[in-house]
Amino acid sequence: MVAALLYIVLARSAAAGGNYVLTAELPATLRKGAPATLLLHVHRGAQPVDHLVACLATAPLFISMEDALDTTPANGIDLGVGPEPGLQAVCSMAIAGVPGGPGIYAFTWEPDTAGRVNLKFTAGAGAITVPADVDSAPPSPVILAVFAVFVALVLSLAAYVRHRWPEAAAAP
Amino acid sequence: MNLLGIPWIRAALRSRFYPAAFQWTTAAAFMLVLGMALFATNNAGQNFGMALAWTVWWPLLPLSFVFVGRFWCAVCPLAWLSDQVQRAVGVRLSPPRVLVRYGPWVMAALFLFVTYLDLTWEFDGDARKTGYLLLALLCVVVFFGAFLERRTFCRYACFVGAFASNYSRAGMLELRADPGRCRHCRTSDCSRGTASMPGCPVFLFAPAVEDSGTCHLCGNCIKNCPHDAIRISPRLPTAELWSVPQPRLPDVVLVTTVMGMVLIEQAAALPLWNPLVEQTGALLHLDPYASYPFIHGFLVTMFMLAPLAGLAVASLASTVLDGTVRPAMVLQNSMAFGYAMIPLALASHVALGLHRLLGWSRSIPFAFLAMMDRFPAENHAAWLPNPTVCRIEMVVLTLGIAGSWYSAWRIAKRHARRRPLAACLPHALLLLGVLAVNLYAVSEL
Repeated sequence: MVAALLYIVLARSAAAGGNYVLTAELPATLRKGAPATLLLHVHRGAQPVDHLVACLATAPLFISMEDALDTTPANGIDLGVGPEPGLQAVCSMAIAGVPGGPGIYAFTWEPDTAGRVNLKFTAGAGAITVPADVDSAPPSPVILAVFAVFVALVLSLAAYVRHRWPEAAAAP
Repeated sequence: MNLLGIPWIRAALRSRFYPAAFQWTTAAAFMLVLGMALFATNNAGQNFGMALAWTVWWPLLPLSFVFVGRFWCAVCPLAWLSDQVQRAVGVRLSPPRVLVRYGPWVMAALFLFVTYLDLTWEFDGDARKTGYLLLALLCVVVFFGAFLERRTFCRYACFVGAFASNYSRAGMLELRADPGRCRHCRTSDCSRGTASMPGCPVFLFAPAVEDSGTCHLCGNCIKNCPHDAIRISPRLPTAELWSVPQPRLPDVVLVTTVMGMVLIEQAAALPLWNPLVEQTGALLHLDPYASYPFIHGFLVTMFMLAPLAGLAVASLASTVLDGTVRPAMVLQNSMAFGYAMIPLALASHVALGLHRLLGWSRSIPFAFLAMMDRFPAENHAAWLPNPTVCRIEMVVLTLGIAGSWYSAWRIAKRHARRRPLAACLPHALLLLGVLAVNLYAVSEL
């Protein structure tokens, strides 16, 4: 899993309670419709003070540009722009169990029209912005294979039946 | 007035390129949509195929039934594919009896299933899911085309046919046969076909056609009839609903279901949706996010049952006011007056589609540009400002309620035993309630 985390961003930020170092790990490319795991480490000096494992339940899917700018959560799992209620609910689920740290992790998601996103985390007064490309997962090879096999089977069977019992197939 | 009396229409419908030329076009468009849904970006806003399917085709579909009946079914790429499979390897078995008998229920169930999938997992916002849905449809169509005769799938199992049938009945076009000319016909070529042209693909016998719910306007009967007995006529919208000879329960269940579907689609876009999901989760003791599909399924069911329950209550009140209270009469009343809901259901469906079409349609050129890796700075997706779209939707809903009220009145005059006005009143109030909810949703969107 660690090997899958291709992109590491380091950012130092000064928070009210001292200097925090925020480190975020997430895949270089987020795939729309596929879950992605994000790790956020918070250190003060050499000491880890907190960490966050957030599951970006589903990378965002925007139907239109208006939709991309719409802060209304679609079904509680897609992440729109800004601190929206649905987003917070997802995040609160994701960070449940994390001991008290520097503060609330404000989490924003800024899409642009080229398909990139900027994930911004705030710890206390500090912040980290993690850019990521958003790509699409390829279609499931299993589904494509099942489709091809099914169609081939049906056509073959029908062709065989028509060949074996031509009089039945000739009926109007 | 017989439109086939107009030479160019007659020539076009008798041409061997009708409906083939349209079918080739829609088949090409279908391949494009399928290919892009499976292999292009999953972002619906940047996927040209998705924009074509969900921003153009889906919103225009209910509108097409009003003006040209089930013409779409004649040119549907899936029907064309079924024909090709049948021609190549088709066994041509008769449709199973159970399918013939319960076909309308099968269609209704499939419609509910697909609607649930779409609403809960947002198929219209996810290219891959749309692609998988199309692949599943292709599997079913290939199976039906390979083993069963004619367009059994279209007639008895297509989920679009479920609402196409009702909407076409409220539409402005009808195909009928001239009984005088058919009286002496011994060949039934319209149904059986001829050596050069197959018969009716949906098993209709033209002289027996009494409604516009099934005919696809494919033109086969026009080409086959040796007596020139077929006519296509314009008519008053909703006229067919005033005197349905044999009301069917599945039709009524479907129309109330469509009403519920439109309502939940509108509700899901309103600010009240999230609190509603959370409260429903609390009511069912479920986490509103982890159990979202279940909660959404519950809400979809409730929204779809609400208009049906409203119809049942209105029918009970209607029979009481008419002075004929018996359980059988209540059911009869529901089945008769259920057809009066079609114009309003159609109008609310069209209004919902217009919201998408007028509000998002500029995403089509954006998606086309995105296909070529170009992203314009100007990205406003609406053709018209939202207040204008809202006004257009309200006009459509007004036409719908007018059609529904008038249909209810005509049905009351036909079915009420004693007091037509009193029998009509509960249904008129129910329709008013549905209209009010629609107007609220439209004004808030």
